Amino acid sequence: MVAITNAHNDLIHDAVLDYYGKRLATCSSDKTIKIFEVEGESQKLVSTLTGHEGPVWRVDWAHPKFGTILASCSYDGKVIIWKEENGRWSQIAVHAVHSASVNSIQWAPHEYGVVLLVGSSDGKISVVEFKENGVTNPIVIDAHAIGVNSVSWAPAVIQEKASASGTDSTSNNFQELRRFVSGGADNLVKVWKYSPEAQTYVLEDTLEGHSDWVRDVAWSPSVLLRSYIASVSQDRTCIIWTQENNKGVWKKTVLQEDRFPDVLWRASWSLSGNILAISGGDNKVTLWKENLEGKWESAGEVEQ
Amino acid sequence: MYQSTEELLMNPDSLGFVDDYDSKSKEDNDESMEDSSMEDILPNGEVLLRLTSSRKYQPLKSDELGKRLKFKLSPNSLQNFAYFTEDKMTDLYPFRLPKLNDSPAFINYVSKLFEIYDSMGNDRIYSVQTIGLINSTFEQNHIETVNLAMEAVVTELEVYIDSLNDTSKYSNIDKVLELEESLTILNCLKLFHFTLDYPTANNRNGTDYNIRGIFISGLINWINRSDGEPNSEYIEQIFGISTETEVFILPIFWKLVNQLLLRGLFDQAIGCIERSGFLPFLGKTCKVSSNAILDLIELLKKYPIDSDESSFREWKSLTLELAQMFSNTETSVSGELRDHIEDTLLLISGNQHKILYYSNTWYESVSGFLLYYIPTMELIDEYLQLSLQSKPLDVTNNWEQSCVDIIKGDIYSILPVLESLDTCTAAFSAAICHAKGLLENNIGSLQDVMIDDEVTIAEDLFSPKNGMASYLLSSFAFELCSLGNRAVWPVAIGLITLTPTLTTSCKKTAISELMHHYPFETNDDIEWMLSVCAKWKLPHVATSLFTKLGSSMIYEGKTIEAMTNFSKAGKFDLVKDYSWTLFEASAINGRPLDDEILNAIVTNKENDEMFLSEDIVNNLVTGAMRQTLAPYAVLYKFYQAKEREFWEEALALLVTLIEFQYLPSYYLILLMAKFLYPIYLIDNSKKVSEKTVISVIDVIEKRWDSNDDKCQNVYQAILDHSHDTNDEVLAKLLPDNLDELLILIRQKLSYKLCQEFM
Repeated sequence: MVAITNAHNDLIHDAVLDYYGKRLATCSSDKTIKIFEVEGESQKLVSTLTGHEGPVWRVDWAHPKFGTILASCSYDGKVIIWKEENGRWSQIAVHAVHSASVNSIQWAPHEYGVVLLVGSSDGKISVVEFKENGVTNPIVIDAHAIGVNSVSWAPAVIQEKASASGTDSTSNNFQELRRFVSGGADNLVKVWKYSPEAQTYVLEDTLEGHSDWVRDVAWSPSVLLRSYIASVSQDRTCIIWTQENNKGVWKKTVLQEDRFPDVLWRASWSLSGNILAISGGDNKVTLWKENLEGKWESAGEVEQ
Repeated sequence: MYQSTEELLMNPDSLGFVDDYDSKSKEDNDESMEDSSMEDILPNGEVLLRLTSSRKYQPLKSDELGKRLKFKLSPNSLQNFAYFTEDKMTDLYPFRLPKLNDSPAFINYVSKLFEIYDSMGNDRIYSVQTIGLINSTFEQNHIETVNLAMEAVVTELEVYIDSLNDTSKYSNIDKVLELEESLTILNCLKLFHFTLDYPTANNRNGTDYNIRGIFISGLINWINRSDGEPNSEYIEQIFGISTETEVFILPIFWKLVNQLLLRGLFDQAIGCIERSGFLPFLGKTCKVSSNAILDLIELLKKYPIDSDESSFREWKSLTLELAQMFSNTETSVSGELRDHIEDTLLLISGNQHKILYYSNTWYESVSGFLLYYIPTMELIDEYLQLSLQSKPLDVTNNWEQSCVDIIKGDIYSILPVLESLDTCTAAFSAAICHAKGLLENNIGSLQDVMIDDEVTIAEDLFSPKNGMASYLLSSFAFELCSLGNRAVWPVAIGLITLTPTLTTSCKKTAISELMHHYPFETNDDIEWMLSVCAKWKLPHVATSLFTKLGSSMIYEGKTIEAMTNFSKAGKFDLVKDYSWTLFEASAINGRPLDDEILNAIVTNKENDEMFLSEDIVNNLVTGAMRQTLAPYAVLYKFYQAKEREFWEEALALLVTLIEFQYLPSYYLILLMAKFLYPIYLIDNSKKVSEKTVISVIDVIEKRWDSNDDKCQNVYQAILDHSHDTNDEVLAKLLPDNLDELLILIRQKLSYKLCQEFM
């Protein structure tokens, strides 16, 4: 496949392929979002979406069962939901509960419905559900005092209720365990869990390990009993946090003893959760894999 | 595999293997080195990918720091984009994850290995019969099946390597080398663990296996395929060393002959002796030595590869006699040359010292012991120990340590090595080793570790308790699904299904999660996917599939097919919405939609031109669709009646729609403005019964809302359409807003009522 040249008129901030790798959404400081169709070795610009009043930081595709839906977030404090019908893109909702730049968005696992997780520089995280007849009241929580840089959902998990006895394991004793992770300018990584009683998300764990801004967090998407979170930071480290059986303490593993040469910007997992990719200011993307002994080893690197 | 992270990652800048704009001297060379793979293998085995295929035009200098290189892995590992968040850097660079292969040769290899594994049936599971009626042939049959499966895997690997060599692409070289190493490990594994226990009688196939023959052939094949030594150039070099001295005078010649003998390359050793001119020389100078060499050649030609152990004993006693006889006899040749002849005779008679002395490697020694000393596995530990003491293993390649581990019976430790070389080969080999019972012991120790989590861990696809084979099979299945290649999906799902140690619920969870990502394209794909959903009882996955199908059909403009899929997904709101959308589109246009499938459905007629049989229509139309499309069916009949100028019938149908209690109020506006007012109310010649007028007035009273946004939008759409289509009659008839239209309608209804009264 050949490179896409001059994709935007200003800084590119995000580029995300859809579920099938058929469409690429990119966003930029030029305030636009561009949609490219990817077919084999070629790509074609098919739409340019305008509507934000500031740089657009991130884009994310919803699960295709909800149709062709894209979310974007911007310095203008807004999240715009775009939908394509019959080849035409239109705004179907604007989420504007934040008072500062919205830095990170991610659609929830499709089992939860059309639910979006939003993190902002105002220090708050919002979770908003879009229903056919309108938007429900968003849940807004104070998360990181100085600002939220990144948010990431945990995969959908069904868990036995704590009160259920072992002998009575009917379906009523199981519930969804909805969790997500956030990384902030307070150098912290926080794990949040939905409380049906409180009907909001409550702080489950605060993970301390970074000495500078947490730039990105990514929860491994695989459906294993062990949970994996990767966090990368301005402090030039990447930490893998693991938890067994969705409960108990989070174990911290620094990916590489020596600090990376420069700031780490992004962390992402492959579909099956077996490969972690991190990219940073040293102009490298390094790929990592946990070996059979549970150690993290390099699976290759991509260099400029 | 066991190196620490620091060892694995090296400083790219210090080694200068990345090209940059400043490296002018390298640029010229690089141009010729451009290749499509965009991958380099570093000295430590790591893969380095470039963002562009041109080494010359990389976006940054290699020593540049502080640039924000970003990217995100996509669900399809073959398609990812990287980019810089930097001024004047607005390009996006696609790249694929290293070491991923979706070539036809690889897909074929994967499919073949899966066929082998699948065909093993119940023999995929290792079990020892301890209770009930113990079948004496059960174990023999199991061993035979598993051994044959391993043999088939090795054969397929050889075919795969050959296919890559045939394509002779530069980018294949590294992969071929890795596969060759895998093959050497598998050859060794097959030799020591899948050969010697072949049942000799009463086997399933009725084959009488010549175990010694299989073993010796396998030994020679393993040793010689592993490193390809001594290579033909080396042999030619020896024969070309000196024109003044005969080659057989040189110690290096005898070293070569003995090396060939240690490797079981009898024909090649004989060929070297014959080519050297040694026999004619001895014929003239020493009859005893000449006879000894002729006897040696005869013995080598009769080496009992395929014969039983007693034949070997006879052969060995002849070699011992020959060596003894030569040692005790005076010869005309003396000095080094006599020593060379004697050493070779001693070597083939199994002299331990000579075998070790002439071996270049530990595996040549092991081969020498098994070929000439005593061919038994009972002494294999001793052979290995002596060989390694004499010639330590080479730790710079992957396969030597693994082969030592295999001979020692430690199969677990070779799996990470195999995995690092080729995940496909590793997964299937591990599965067959598991079936053989070679991986059983460690699970016991893991069970002790995991005792606290026994119940829950068993549900985890990648739990250590499931064993390494299961782990590798599951990992490989996930890897296949990341390729974005539909052809390997059945293999991936099949692998999870067949993995012996996983629980059903664990498999179901994994398959359910994976199927959501299936990149279906054709009807066959959908059929396959639905069959998987049915087999594993995954209705929610099927629902999700139908919804996605519906969405994609809408995108392609196939509304009816989309509605069918939405119906099957239980998305009845969507079915209803799209039915009304069709109704609206038709009413605004004032004629049936140009959709023959839709019109065939609402008329219940077979469409000869489109070959739409009743079966096809019935297949397309769900109960929900029949219900929600009913308004459009009435509207369609209205058009037909109007066309034939059956005005009363048409009016009755129109009023049926207007009175329909679930008709949205904005469509009331649509029907009134588009049909009732311009066709019936304006035209004084068309009679409207008192009952109908009263009925329409009743509906208007209850549901007409001029202030409703949707009603106004629909009315505006009618006005716009009349202008767009130059429908001047309608454009003149209709006022600018709904309130005015309502007044006009009321006036005309009053007139119709009077007309009826008069």
